[in-house]
Order: sequence, then C-alpha cells, then structure tokens
Amino acid sequence: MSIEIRQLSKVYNPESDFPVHAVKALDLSIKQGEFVAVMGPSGSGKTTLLNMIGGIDSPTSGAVCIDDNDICLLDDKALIAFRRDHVGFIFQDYSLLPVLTALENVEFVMQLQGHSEQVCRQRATELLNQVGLTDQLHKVPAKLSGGQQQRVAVARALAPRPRFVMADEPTANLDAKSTSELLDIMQQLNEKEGTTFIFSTHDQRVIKRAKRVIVFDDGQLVEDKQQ
Amino acid sequence: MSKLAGVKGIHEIAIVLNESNNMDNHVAKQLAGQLSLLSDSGNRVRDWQQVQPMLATIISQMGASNAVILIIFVSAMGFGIVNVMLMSVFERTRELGMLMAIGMVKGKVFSLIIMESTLLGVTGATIGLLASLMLVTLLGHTGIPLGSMAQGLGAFGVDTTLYPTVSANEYVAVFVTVVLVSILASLYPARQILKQRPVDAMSHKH
Ligand SMILES: Nc1ncnc2c1ncn2[C@@H]1O[C@H](COP(=O)(O)OP(=O)(O)O)[C@@H](O)[C@H]1O
Ligand SMILES: [Mg+2]
Repeated sequence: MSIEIRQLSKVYNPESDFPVHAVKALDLSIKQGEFVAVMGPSGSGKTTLLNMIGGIDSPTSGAVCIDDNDICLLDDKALIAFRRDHVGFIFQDYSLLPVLTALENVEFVMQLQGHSEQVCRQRATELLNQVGLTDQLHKVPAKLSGGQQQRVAVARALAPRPRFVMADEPTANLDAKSTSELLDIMQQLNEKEGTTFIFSTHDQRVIKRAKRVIVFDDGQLVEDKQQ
Repeated sequence: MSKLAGVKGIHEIAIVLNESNNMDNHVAKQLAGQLSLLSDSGNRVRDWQQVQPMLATIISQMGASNAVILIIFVSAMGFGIVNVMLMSVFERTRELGMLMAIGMVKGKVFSLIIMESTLLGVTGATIGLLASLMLVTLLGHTGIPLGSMAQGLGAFGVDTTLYPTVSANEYVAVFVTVVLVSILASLYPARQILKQRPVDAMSHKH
C-alpha cells in the first residue's frame, strides 16, 4: 500500500482576514513499510498533514491517494471504515479509554472490526507482550505510567493490522528512557509486521532513529532525506 | 354542658363515617338524606361540607395548588437533568472524537451516548425514588407535626400532624419522566458531537 500525496493544501479560516495556510501544495510519496519522521518547528503544519493522511481531517484542495484511491473523495461512512481497517493512530496524549484495562483497550479496536472474542484476546495479549506489558494487562490507564500508556496505545494502533500508523508527536510527553523504549518497539513492529510508520516530532533523538526524515517548515517540504 | 345551656337531653349527634374520602362524601349525603326522612321535622341533618363550608372550599382548591407546585418542581428537576446530561456528554467530546477517529461508526457512537444517558437516568431515578420511598414511609409513621404554624387548622378540627403518602402511580410517573428527560436531553449534545470531524472533536478543550 503506497501513499501518494498530490498538491495537498490546507487553509484554516479561508474566509477570514487572516487565513492560515497550514500545508501548501505538498507533493509526497510514501511506500509500504517505511519508517518516516516528519520534522519541523511548532506550527509548521505537521499535525495538519498527519491528520489529512490519516483521514481524520479533510484538505482544502489536493489529493491523498492510498493505492490509487483518493480518500478525500470517500463519504463519511467509507472513510470511517477506511480508518478502522487501514490506519492506526497513536496520539500525543495516549487517548486510551479510562474505564477499560490495557487488554480491553487493545481488544476494543479489533471488536470494531468484528473479530471474535477469542481472536481479539489472543492478538491483544500477543501485542501487549511485545510492547513489554505482560504484567500490566489488567490495569486501567490511570494505574500505568505515561510510557506504559503510550505502549498500550502502540499495541492498540497495531491490533487491527493497519497498513500504516500515524503518530503525532508520540514521545512529546515521555522521558528519555521511555522515548527510547517506545522507538525500539515501533521499529520492531515496523520490521516484523511491515507496517508503515509516519510520525511527527521535533525531538532530535527520535529523528536519529528514523529511516527517512521529511523536514517541514511553514507548510512546505524543505528536505527529504534517507538515512 | 346541658346545665349550662339549660337544655334537656341530646341536642347534637355527630356521625363519623369510616370510609370517608375527602370531597367525595356522597355516602355522607346519602346518609344525611335518609336520616332527615327518619327524624322529626325539628331536627336538621347536615353533612360536614355544610357545617364547615370554608374548610370544604380550601380542600377543593388544594388540587389546583398542588398541581402548580408539582409543575414548578418537575421543571426545576427537568433543568437539573438537562444540565447534568449536557455536561456528561460534552465533557467526553475528546473521547468520543477519538472513537470516531479509530473507526467507530457514528450510529454506534450515537447509541453509546443514548445508552449511557438511559443508564444514568435509570440509576438516578431509582436511587432518588428509593430515598423518597424511605423518607415518606418514615414520615408516614412519625408524621410531620405542623405545631404552632397550623393552630388555625386545629380550630377546623383538622389534625396538626401530617402523614404524607405517595401513590405507586406517582412513583411510576416520576420514574418515566426522569428517564425520558435524560434521553431527550442527551440527543442535542450527541448531534453536536457527531456533526464534527474527529479532529475538531478531539481538539475540544474541557
Ligand atoms: N483548527 C485550527 N484552526 C485554525 N488554525 C489552525 C488550526 N489547527 C492548526 N492551525 C494553524 O495551522 C498551523 C499549523 O498547525 P499544526 O498543523 O498544528 O502544526 P504543528 O503540528 O507542526 O505544530 C499553525 O499556524 C496553527 O496555528
Ligand atoms: Mg502538532
């Protein structure tokens, strides 16, 4: 599954006196299995870009083509199904459901896809083992540290076997040790499951670990390098 | 008494009926009718509404004033419920936005909100009614002494201790109202949230 972005633009408040051009006529292509960091100062448009690729925000103009299908043309229902089946999300504030345990949080997204209880339980347990939370399966998020919550979020993002995972500043609230552990896990899953990872950051330590770095400034691509 | 008044024999007989039902005293009227036929023409037979016309009027007005008070209480309760429901749904805007983002269809998010509101309404109504049942039963035994506030009532021959009762019908009506208002009150915030794109819902500040 490849992602082709063509002439993608996003303008906030287009009618007002001060329209904000958050993303400007961007062309970009990302292949299956890449491990991409989008880097740039605060306000450069990273979040806006990731939201449009993930299909939770719509562009002002341009196209986001996944395997030659422009997701911007999908109706509401098809777009929700697309996100459910093909996109994993990792949010900066973890966004776990507070009343569910770690295991239930991960199972829940698979249940949305209609998998049997047994299949959900097995895959969720397996993923939580992989992210090193074997002993925390039955704890609610409030009983976990930030790093552990974000690892649950990674497991949740991976559970429905998405083709790509969007992570907007996933390590912004984590300390150095948790950041490094989280990156290890993301890298492992990227290699093992072939899932594409696209994450935004302005943390140099995170950027060093990426295989491809896209430097973004003022809504425009400044640099695109493999490393 | 008879010495004081200088009257010989019995001058007044009061008949207390067992099954008296506030205003509907047709039994008393019937009895009064029959008695006046039987007794001498010099005797008068009157039911209590004729003896105490003022009390009769007060009691007959009570239904209307009760209804007004009930309406005031029910609307105050309604506003309270609407307020709680708006808060309980809107404070979860981010969470609901996240559910839409990770692929929960809007119909499911909607039924989730409605189900939670129903549950909240049923739980609240049950706890409230149980508490009121206990209080009313207790007061039904001990009574509410009106004391000096109601000495005037004593003059009418009315007990100054109230024994409140609430009928089963009234409990059912309150329960149904509470649950219905809860569900209706959650429709508006549910619509507001579902109308948003996931990003906007998720960036919602508390
Ligand atoms: N909902 C919004 N309404 C108006 N302007 C916005 C909104 N979201 C972001 N912006 C603006 O768009 C620009 C890019 O923001 P963002 O994509 O959040 O950048 P980054 O994630 O790199 O910090 C900023 O100037 C920001 O102020
Ligand atoms: Mg951002």
